[in-house]
Amino acid sequence: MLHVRNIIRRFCYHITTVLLTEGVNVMSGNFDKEVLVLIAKGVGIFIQEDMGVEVVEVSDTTFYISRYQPPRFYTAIGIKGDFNSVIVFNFETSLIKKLSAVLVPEGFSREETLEMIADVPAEVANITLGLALQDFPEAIDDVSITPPFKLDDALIKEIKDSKLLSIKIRTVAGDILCSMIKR
Amino acid sequence: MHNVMIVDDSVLIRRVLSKALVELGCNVVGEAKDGQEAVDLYPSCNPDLVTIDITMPKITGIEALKEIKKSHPNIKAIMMTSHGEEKIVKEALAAGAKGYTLKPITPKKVKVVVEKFFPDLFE
Repeated sequence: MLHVRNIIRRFCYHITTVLLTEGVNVMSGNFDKEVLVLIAKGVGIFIQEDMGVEVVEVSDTTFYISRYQPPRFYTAIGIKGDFNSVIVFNFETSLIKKLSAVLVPEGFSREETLEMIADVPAEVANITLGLALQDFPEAIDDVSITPPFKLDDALIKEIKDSKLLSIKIRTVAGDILCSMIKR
Repeated sequence: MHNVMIVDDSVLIRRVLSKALVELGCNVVGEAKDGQEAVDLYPSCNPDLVTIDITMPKITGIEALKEIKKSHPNIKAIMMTSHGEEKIVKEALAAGAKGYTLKPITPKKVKVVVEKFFPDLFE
């Protein structure tokens, strides 16, 4: 179980190096990357330790929202308070199948089961963001999260030129991409 | 019969809870998918216990609890929440919640809740 923590520790070391290289002082009020790393850490630990799916790699990436195409399984959650942003979680279908085998109860009709599987991204995002909130820096600890939601056209239009800071968590069953949108 | 009402915006959680509660011998008398629906539905369900998700659309679980408590001061509510929401949990307990359960919701956690509120089911 230390495996995922070691991968994330290595990644935290990497991202800290990036922050220093870019001259970003996390104590100066720019917490974007630090917060996203904490969220990725929450995701990685939950996926491996609670869901039993091995995390094999964590890496960062940046892209523009104009190139963003939501996959079949994704969800967004807002963070409000001392720190404001929207976090988008994209899941590969193969990973959702694996997570659903753990989270979705048996004994329901096919239609009911599909409804529950569609809810898996929201539940995973909700739980993992909750885990991350515990580790938020003291300066931004007065925050709350919104219920999970889907990105609508109006929001995508509003933020179409925004850069998305993303962290990809690769597991043996598929990837999760956690992206932060600053409004 | 031990009547329970479920309030959660996630259909997954509502079904996990409902299935576990029924298997433990409870009767699920109503389900609401947001705080406002809970406030509207509660009087007709009049449950012995209500499980309420804290973070929901429209009005939150705590606001719904406060609203229901005005007309039903003896409401027994248990809050469903994520890690990292300790401040909100304290607010919920101050508002009259009888306890809380951390997500992910599992049948084992549901059993702990039912044992606490309906011990006769396990005698």
